[in-house]
Amino acid sequence: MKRFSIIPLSVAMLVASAELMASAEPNLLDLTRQLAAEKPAPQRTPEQLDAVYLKVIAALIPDMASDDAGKRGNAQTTLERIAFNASRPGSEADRAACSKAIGATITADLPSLTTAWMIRQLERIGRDEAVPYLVKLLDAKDTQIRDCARRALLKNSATEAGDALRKALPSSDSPAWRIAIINALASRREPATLSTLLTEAASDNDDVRIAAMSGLAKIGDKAAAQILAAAMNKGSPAAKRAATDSYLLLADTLADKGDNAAALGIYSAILPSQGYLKCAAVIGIGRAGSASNLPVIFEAIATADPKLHAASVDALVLLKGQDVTAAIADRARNADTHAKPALLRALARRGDKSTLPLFLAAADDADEPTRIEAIRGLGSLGDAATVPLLLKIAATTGNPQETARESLQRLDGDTVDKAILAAMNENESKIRLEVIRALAARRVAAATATLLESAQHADPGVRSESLKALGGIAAIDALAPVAALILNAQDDAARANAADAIARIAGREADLEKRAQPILATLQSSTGPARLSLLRVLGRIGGNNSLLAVRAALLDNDPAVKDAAIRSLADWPDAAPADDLLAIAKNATDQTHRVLAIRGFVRVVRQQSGRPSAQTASMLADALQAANRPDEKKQIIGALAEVRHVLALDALLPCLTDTNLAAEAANAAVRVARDIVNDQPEKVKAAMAKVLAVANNADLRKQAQETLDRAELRLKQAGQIK
Amino acid sequence: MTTKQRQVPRRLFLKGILAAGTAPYFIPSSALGADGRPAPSNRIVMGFVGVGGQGSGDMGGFMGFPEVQVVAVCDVDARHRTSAKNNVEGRYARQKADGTYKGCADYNDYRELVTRPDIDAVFCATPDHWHALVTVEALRNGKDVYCEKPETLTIREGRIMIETARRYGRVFSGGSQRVWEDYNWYHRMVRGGAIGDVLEAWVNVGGASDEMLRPAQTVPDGMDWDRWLGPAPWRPYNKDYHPFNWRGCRDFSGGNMTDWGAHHYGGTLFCINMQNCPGPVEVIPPDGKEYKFLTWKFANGLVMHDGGAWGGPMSFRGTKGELPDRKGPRKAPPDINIPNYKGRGGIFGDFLHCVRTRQRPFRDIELAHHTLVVCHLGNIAGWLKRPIKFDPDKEQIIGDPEANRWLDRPKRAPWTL
Repeated sequence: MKRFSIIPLSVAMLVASAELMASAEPNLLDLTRQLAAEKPAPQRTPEQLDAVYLKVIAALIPDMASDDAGKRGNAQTTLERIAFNASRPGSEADRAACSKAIGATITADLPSLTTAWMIRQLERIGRDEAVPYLVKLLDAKDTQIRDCARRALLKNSATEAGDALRKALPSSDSPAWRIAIINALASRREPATLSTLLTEAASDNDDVRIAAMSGLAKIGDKAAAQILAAAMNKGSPAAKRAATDSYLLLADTLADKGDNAAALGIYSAILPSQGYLKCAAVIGIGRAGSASNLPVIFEAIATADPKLHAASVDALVLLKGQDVTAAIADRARNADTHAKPALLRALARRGDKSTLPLFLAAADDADEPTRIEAIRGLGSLGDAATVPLLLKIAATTGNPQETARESLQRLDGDTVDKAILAAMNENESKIRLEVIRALAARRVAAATATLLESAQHADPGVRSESLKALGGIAAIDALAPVAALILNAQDDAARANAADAIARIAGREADLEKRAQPILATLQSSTGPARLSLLRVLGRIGGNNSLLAVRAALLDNDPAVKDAAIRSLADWPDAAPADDLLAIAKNATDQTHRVLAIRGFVRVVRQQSGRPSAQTASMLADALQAANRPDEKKQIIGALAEVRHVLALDALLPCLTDTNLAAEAANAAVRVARDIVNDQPEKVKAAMAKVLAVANNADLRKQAQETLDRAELRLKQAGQIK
Repeated sequence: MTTKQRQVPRRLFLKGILAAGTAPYFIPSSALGADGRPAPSNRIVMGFVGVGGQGSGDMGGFMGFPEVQVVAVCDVDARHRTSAKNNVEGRYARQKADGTYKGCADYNDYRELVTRPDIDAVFCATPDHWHALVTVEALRNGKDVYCEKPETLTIREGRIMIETARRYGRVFSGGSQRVWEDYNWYHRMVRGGAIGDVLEAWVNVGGASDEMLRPAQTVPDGMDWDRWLGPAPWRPYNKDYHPFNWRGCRDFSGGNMTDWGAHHYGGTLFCINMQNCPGPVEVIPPDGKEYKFLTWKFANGLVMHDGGAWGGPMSFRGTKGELPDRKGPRKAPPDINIPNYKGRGGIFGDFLHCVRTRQRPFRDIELAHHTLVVCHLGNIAGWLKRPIKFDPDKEQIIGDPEANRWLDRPKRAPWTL
């Protein structure tokens, strides 16, 4: 497969044929390139075009008929390119000349695949001029060739093509060929084929009858209705199924043409069926019917069959007319608990806002499924005036709450956001919480100032939800006031919420220094737990100035500040504090800090950076020395496995002798070795020998042996092993 | 057990589910069978057509859902067919106390499978040129359908699949899990307004299929080559086509343009909330001048290119910047609600949930079709090497009758849609 490009595709192919062409006609290559749109072509008369196309295409025939697959492929692709170019809009003379030339050069002595290929081009570009050639091929002894011709006639827009197929039908020599021609005629959907298909639809052969019925359905003349109705009870089960399917398709086609009465007659005839056919009939009635057909659908909606129930809803949505909407609404008012939710669903999908009062009333229904559909419908049909009710329901629990929240998010209208914002003045905390959630879900940026205010509310729930909302929607200019909220936070949970909001807001700003600046400014005036929280946040923000601040905190005399700084470095978003973390891992007296530092170090070192592999390997080797617990050592080994450098291999080899680490180290060593074997065969060979000496896992041993073999081969190629 | 006997309790069971609207699906303990799975009468009975590489893996995925019961497999390659049957029976045997199970039929002809009255849903992972025939026949027999992507070989096939699904009120899910699962960061960023209104998109997909002409080789034992070709023009067998590389061949597939395009273009359009857009209005192949890449233009002004994306499979330029941002680190996406799967268990769970609740699945066939309209038109313009104009509502190419022929392809006898 290749990406579309501007590289002339047939240049290479033509070169392959150039010798032949050149010997036959000096200008043939240029002519071919002109016809394939790879060189500009001069203006030619239709007669000249006929001659040129015939000359070029005839010259391609020997290669297209060649036993050499390469030559054949090149010539075929060139012909296709020529045909595609000839069919461009505005070049009718080219298209006709090309089509005629292809038709004229198809001879009985050509290999089957060559003939098929040429017919394929006629299928793509041929019109009336191609029909005589294709008609001859309908009589080919090779069934694949005659099917190619049939398909080309199927796609040919000339009326002569349909005439030819109709003429060929009576003399078809087998049911299979008869069916093939009927299918082609069916695809052409010509009214002139109607009588032919009506005759064939009376065939005693099930398969012929099925094909003819399908064709009648596609043509869509109601004259076929009676014969299809009768066929639903005739022949094999497959034939009966096909007849019913065709009958339904005919109804759809008639409905598309605007003959709803005829379509309804068919749908109604199928309605007594069961299962999926009944579903189709009900949907069809919805498609072609009117208010007078509602009783049938109302009856179907009462069913316990979920598929028919759902089909009935589809039908109610499809039925057109304001009177239909009114009738469904009337029905819904007094419907039972089985039908009412479905009727509400249908009304909501119909989108007629005049039914809104029904939904408002049903939102208080005793039956929960009804209530749910009503609340969901309010999201589609409601407006700003619906907001208070939805907020009230959202402040409850369970499915109604979830549905009301979704509806609040979906509510459409210019004034909806304002209505939600206005509800912030509600005294009830639960409702205020839902207001905040809705503002966040709808991403109402204009609510930032209100949310900053509510983030200082007396109710901790309101404060927490406000901070979550700010984290989701506030812009970078809200960072300073949100950071300041940490200073007044009353407890760890509040500080954590504020810190999370800060990190999320900052995350939307790409400039590391710009996003860190408000936090650093707040840090300067902070003390106690607030200072610790801000230091931790810096670890999620990153940037040079943040790193300087955290490094300064590392030197603080307060152990809590130092601890926060180390944890901040361990969370850093990039590899900037790698050296700091390594130093802490080596030198910290507190075991927790050593562990945190090593884990943080491994995490940041694994992130993408421009650091040379050798340096990364060396840093990880240092960390391996500093680590004193197997867990951290294993993490480092995992990181070393990703470094494509011999120093990584060197660092791993000593671990092979440590029983706690040998398995991980062997695995990592093989991974590194496979990556560097071509550059370091000697080292790899030695390392794999060591791995094989300790590894027990069969798969790993196999990989190690294969890598060792590759190393030896490489050494042999380099002349270092004989 | 007859179909009628089996269906009644499931309907009663589903009634409760339906009444709950879109409430999360759960199976009451009273409906569970002795093996902890839903009772047989409450299972979704499935048949699988095309059980080679992708189909075999997907079948395993579906069997991971306790409510799914696989009763039949179909493949024109006896090796795949037998292997799939053995997998199904082996898996169910392990769940039985006596360790035996023989309840999976195998077929060479999909029509035998899709007409079985006991089957609720048909899965299709055949080569692309078979998708429409298999799925439409399944729909005509009242089955719900899950079809692997790319769901269609031509634009006309997609339209017929939609019309048939709607005619019978069936659930039809396409099979691109990546649209939702892989590109979530892009969805959240773009829909969250990170770059304002999207003006331009670049998508790295890969190439189109070509004629892929290969010499004849001996057909392997157990392989029904004529049936494998089915509606495609006849050509001799070559191992490059089967078991897998058929995607390079235009008769069987649109190539990477439709294979990966179903994912990437689907994801791109979803990001811009244009998943329901019926198609572009113009498609321009690369010309070495103004258009470096194959380019689509949409009625709303969006311009999309085949290639040129940076930092991932897709990139965007909007009124407020680019995505991904080439100058800075990847930003955290906003926490926003966007359309998602229904039910639990990814795209398979979404389909099964919709089979039960009769909702439209995430990758409803119409959404899949819209994505593939983009892909197919890209291929047509690329193959013909000329710009085309498209009427998305009528699904017709304007002013180019010969390009229009590519919207549908005649099928080899006796196959027809």
